[in-house]
Amino acid sequence: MIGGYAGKYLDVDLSTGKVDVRLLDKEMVEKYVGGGGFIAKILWDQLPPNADPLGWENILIITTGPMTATLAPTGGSWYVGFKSPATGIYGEGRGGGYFGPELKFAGYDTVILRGRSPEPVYLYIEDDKVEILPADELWGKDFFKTVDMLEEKYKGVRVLGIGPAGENLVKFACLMSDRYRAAGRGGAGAVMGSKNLKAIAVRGSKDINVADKEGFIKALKDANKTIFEHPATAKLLPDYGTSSLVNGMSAFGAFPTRNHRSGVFESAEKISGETMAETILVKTRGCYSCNIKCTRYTMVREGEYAGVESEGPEYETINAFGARCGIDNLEAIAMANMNANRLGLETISTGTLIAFAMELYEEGLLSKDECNGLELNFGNHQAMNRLLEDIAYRRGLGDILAEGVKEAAVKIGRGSEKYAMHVKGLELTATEPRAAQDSGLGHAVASRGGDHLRPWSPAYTLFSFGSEELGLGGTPDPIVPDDKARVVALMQRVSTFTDMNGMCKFTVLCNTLAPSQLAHLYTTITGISFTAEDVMQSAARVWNLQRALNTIKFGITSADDTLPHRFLNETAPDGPAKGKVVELDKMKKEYYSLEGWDDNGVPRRERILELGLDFVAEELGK
Amino acid sequence: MITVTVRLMGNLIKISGTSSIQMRMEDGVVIKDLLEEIFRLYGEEMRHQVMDSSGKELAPYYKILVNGRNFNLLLGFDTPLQEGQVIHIMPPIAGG
Ligand code: SF4
Repeated sequence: MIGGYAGKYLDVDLSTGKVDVRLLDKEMVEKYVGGGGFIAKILWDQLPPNADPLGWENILIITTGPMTATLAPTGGSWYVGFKSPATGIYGEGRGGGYFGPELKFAGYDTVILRGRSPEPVYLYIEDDKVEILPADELWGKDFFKTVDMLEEKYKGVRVLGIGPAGENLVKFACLMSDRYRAAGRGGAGAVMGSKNLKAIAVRGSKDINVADKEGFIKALKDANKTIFEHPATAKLLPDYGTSSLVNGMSAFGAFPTRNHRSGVFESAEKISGETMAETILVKTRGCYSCNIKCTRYTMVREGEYAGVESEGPEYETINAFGARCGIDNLEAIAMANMNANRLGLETISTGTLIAFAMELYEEGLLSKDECNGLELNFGNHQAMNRLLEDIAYRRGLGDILAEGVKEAAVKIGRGSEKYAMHVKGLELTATEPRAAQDSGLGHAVASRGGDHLRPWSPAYTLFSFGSEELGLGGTPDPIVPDDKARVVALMQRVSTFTDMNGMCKFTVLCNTLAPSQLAHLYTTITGISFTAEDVMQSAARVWNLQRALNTIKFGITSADDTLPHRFLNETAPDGPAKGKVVELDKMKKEYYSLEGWDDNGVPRRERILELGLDFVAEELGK
Repeated sequence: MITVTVRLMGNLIKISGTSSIQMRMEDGVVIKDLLEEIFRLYGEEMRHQVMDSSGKELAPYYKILVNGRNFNLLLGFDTPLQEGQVIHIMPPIAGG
């Protein structure tokens, strides 16, 4: 028997109310592992390529990996997959907390949601009992309230769901779980809202078997030893969380400021992890089976935002609502973070949209009247917090911004496209690519659009966290394009694998755990023998399947693997990259060649066959 | 004489009680001289944090940036200092 998996999945048709329980396929497990691997394969097999992302044909997949619900370090992950309404291509996200393990304790690795319910509903899962129930009372409620109501009804339940932003089909609405955990950049929340599904509440009482218990304990000890010895996971993430990056990224000129005009924020210190630790931090928290505990629980005790409490804000959120909007008020950022969580808005995209509107206002492309009467200058934190709510409820300018920055720029016109910071329709994240060229390449070629996590290569190129197994050492030069294609491709593999196996990327983000350690954990949990090479190969298979979906089914070409005008045409005004643009073409050419993709960015037949994706080869050149 | 700004982060702020120091140095000084001056000002605890046990190399994963450039990409400890530069002394940083 294969360990680590619950062995079953739910197939739910919301149009008809039919729920099927199906057995997990052995080939699916062996070739695609879980998480993003399952998502890519299900979307390839079952999604009509021209499906409207907000139509009934789209499929929303909630899944886990073999390490979810085990004692593997950070084994609390769940994943969501869908066709993105923001990009029209592959959409995927990872969430932490406790929802994923609970789903497996109920006996399911995956839930596939199809169709559209005629009325608002929620899904209740308790072991073998699976019910689709009316959600009239939940619809319209924010996510915190939704959790409160479901927890009151079902003791000990874990909840995943959407806030008003998802109901209102905001194209960067996310899924929330466990109150504060978010996932699904690119509009997973809107897809769930379009299906009239408010929440999934789950309770389970089953166990997950591990194939080789003794071997697993050894693998676990070894992995935990590394985690406890590596400065990123032993010290910095526990002490300051991801916000430990703020000062450092700004020092490297890589901290996007005022809609990416610059990478140096003069007030970075005021919104840094160090400042947070001294002011609003209450305690640290962790997800299921996590010893790193990077999560901050914060509370604002005085001033205009007194009373705000939430998990976070994390690094990305601090940048999005802080430097990117020219805001140096940590309490105002905490407020925006809490409201985004409550309303179900994904913080990175929301901050990007607000920064975009601020730049248009400052450039005279939007008037005060058009900005819902707000003086939308960079730095105006009251205006930022107002506009955030206007986006969730699609009021005035908020209705335009709710379409995502790519579409909003089309609607506004007036040359605003050049201020729209996105790749393929997904808003950019908190790394200034002129100061970390690898990050420019990573964003340009990532399978879900402007994504910083597959990989977060600045861990190596800026912070010098190398990896012997990956052949990454020394001090790389972040502002030149040399060798960056190799770095991106290698680190992409490892983060793709953690997005398949049920762990959190923070175990590998700074090259903490090596591929051989991931292989050891996987082998002992599942009983399927895996080497470090198998880790890299299975990640390559899944990465290429995602790419094949994007190119063959969704029509992405090399021209889409690009960056906003600013990074390719405007030189960095300050910082160590002053005078530089991103040298994307050179890196992209090398990257395509390393990946085995043709000039148009489509995986070549030989590469596809070598990865065992014969069914993709059949579609090539059709 | 030249003036440079030294910025400290993370645990180094706790040791020094400050995140930013303006330092007046002789013309022609290099990073090594600057570090010695900082250790003189803030004591041995600072030295033990920033340097490894040999006292000749930075402690693992510590970094020094000169105007945002890792000093390993320049002349390391022998990198000359110039008027107005910003020097970051950075403990390991993580996130994403
Ligand atoms: S490192 Fe942070 S996000 Fe990852 S599992 Fe642990 S607490 Fe959750």
